[in-house]
Amino acid sequence: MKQIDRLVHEPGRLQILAHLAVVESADFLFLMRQIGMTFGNLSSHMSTLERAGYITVKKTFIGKRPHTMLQLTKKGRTAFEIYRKTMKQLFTL
Amino acid sequence: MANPIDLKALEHKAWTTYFQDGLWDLFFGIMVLSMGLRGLTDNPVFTMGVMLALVVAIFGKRYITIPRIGVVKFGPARKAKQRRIAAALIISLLVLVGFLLPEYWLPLAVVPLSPLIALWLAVFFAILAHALEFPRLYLYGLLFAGSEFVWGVYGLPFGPLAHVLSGTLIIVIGIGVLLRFLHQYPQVTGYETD
Repeated sequence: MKQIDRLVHEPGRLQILAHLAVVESADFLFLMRQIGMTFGNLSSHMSTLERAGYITVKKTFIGKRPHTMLQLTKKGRTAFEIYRKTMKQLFTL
Repeated sequence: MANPIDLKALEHKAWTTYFQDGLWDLFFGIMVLSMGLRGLTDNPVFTMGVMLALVVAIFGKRYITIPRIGVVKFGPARKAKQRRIAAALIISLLVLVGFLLPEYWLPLAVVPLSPLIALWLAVFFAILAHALEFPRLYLYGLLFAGSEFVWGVYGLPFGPLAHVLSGTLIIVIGIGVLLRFLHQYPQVTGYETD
C-alpha cells in the first residue's frame, strides 16, 4: 500500500490545498470565507504547508493594509495529485 | 472526511462568489434606467448614468466586495474560457453590425431593425450569462431586449417607459442581492494583522 502523505491528509490542510488547486492564487480572506475556517486555524495550517514547501505565501501591502496571497507550488500540486490518486486506489475492489 | 471534495464545484463556488454582491445587477440596472430616463426627458444629464454605473461597479468591488470576501486569481482553464466567450461576443457584435449596415442603402421597411437589435441583445446577454455563470443575466437580457423592442415598435413614450420599468426592476433585485451579501459577509477585522 502506498504511503499516505499525512500533511495533506489532515482535513483542514486538504481543504486549503483543494481550494488552491483549482485557482491560480487566493488571498487569506478568500480562503477563510470559502473554507469557513477561523483566522487562527488557517494561519496555523498555512504556516505548516509553507514550511513543507507546498504553498508560497506572499505578504504585501495594499495601501496601509497587509495583504497575504497564497499559491500552490509545483511540489504542493504534485503532493495533492498523488494524494488524490492514492485515495482513489485505496478502496478499489 | 465526511464529504467528498468536488474540485469543479469548488472552482464554481469560488467563481460565483463574485456575483453574489449585486453590483453587476446595479450596473446593468442603472444603465437601462438611465437610457429610459434619457428617452423620456430628453435631458442629456441622464447620459451620465453610464458613468454612475461604472463608478458603482468599480468602487463597489473595491470598497464593498473585496474587503468582505477577499481576492482570487483564477486558473488557466477559466481564463481560456473567458477568451473563447470574448471571441463569441465580438463575433455577435460583428453580426449585428452586418445587419445594421444595410440600413444605409436599403429602405427601413425592408430591414426591421428593432426586432433584430432586440434579438441581438437577448443573444448577447445569454452568451454573457452563460460565460459568467450568472443566471440572472438571462432575465436582464430579456428585459433589456423586450424594452428595446417596445421602443422600436411603439416609440415614445412606451419605449423609454419600458426601459425605466426594466431598469428599476433590475436595480431592486440588485439592492436585494447586495443586502443579502452584506448580511452574509460582514466585514472582517483582525485578519490583516497576520
